[in-house]
Amino acid sequence: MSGPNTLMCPSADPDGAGAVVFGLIVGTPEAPETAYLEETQAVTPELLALADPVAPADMFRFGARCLRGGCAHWEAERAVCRFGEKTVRLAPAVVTVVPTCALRANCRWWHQEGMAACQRCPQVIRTGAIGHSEVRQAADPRVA
Amino acid sequence: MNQPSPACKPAHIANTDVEAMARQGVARALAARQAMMEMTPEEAAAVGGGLTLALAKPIIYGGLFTKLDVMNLGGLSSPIGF
Ligand code: SF4
Repeated sequence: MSGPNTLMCPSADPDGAGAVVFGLIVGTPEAPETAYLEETQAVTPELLALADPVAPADMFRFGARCLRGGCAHWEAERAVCRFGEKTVRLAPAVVTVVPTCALRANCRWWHQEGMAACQRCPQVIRTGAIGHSEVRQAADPRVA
Repeated sequence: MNQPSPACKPAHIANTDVEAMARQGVARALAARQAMMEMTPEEAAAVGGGLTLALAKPIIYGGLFTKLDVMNLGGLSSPIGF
């Protein structure tokens, strides 16, 4: 079982500490969704080049070490990721069964929110290119 | 009601298929990026829920290294990638 300081953010970028790929964004421009990989994959120059000319996070889902107090989404008093919390509160569930997810054992959102986070996770696209308005709200640290 | 239809199952992909699927996905990602760039500030604010600032580029979700109170919110110069 991972300790709280070793958990991973499921909406990271490839430059994050210990970054891995755990999903590929598929679907349509209007309704993107994550296809979950069987196993996490290392972030390599070759993999990043596959996204050219868009940003890697437009194409892949990256997990990386949770920054806790180094991130605008972290609430120190309760030791929670408010992005994960608000995603559960604001965004609709988009799947009935949780994805088979290679990041789960170390995922901050799973440890914090459980299955409810996983039912909403497929629609979370880090760069927010179109995507889902409820997720945008959840991702805005100014939204309570 | 935030309940998906019973048919909504998550998508999965074999690691061996990532490269081929990614190549197919570039068009989708480009179209999404292009649509975002073409939005007026009002449209961007509408899809952004409570966002009122002019989004020259999309917001990056998660891992915000910079606290909002020191961000340049007018131009959103950080922490924006691309
Ligand atoms: S929220 Fe659930 S589905 Fe998403 S990365 Fe974490 S464990 Fe995986």
